[in-house]
Amino acid sequence: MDAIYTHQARIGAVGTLQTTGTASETDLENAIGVAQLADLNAQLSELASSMKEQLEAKQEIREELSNLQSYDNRETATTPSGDEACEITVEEYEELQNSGYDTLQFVEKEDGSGYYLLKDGLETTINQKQEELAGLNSSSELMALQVQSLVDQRKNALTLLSNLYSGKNEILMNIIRNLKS
Amino acid sequence: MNLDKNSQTEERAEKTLALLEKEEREFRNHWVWKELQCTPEQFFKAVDQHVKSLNIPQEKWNVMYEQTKQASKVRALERRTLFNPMNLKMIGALRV
Repeated sequence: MDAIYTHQARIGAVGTLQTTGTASETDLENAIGVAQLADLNAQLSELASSMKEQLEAKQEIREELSNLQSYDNRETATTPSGDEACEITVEEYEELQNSGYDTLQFVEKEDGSGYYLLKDGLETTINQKQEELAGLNSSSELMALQVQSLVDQRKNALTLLSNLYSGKNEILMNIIRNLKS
Repeated sequence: MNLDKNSQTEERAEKTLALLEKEEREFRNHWVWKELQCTPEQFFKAVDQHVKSLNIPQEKWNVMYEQTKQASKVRALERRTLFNPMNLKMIGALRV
């Protein structure tokens, strides 16, 4: 579709916009500035949701780590085959099995009174969880920076809107008329 | 300790979320929405309709939009850097 404005609009230092119509370059820039407010708002909303989800995920991992480390802190036992382990009850074994840790290794005690949880597998699992947490933390730091930038940009866009309103800018008045109709 | 660093990061994330909530409240309670007698969402819809009525080709709008967006990011960063108390202290503008 052809543009409808006749003014040569210099956009930044790059190129020109051939237009035909009555809107000036400033009007278009103001329209863009105001339109960006919606975009910034949506981005912030999305970022807030992601941050909340991430925080919940981190809290879950911290709880898991705390639980796994409590096993690691138990007195070391030795399995019949000579591996370092800690002793766990049948209930603890079932709970750990249901948690879906692929790297944990168990040896059932001969008398059936419980299990040995091998230290090697436990330490591998703990390391994996710590790496997962570190990954989420890096991502979280980046998000915090993005939030700050978006908040500042949104404030600037809102200031522009407020100034346009105070100055009874024509573009804004047209938008308001649309709102009320 | 690794766990301490993790706690600090989580604490920062929680502070960021609290900041977001505060900013959101301030945004929604801004006087301009009261003056316009609408919610931000209603206003955004009206802006969208107005922009469509300008009949600017999508590609050209996208280019202009992207350029303004980049300029806005730089302005926000400059403002934050310029008014960062740490930077002002470093240049001796503030007494420690």
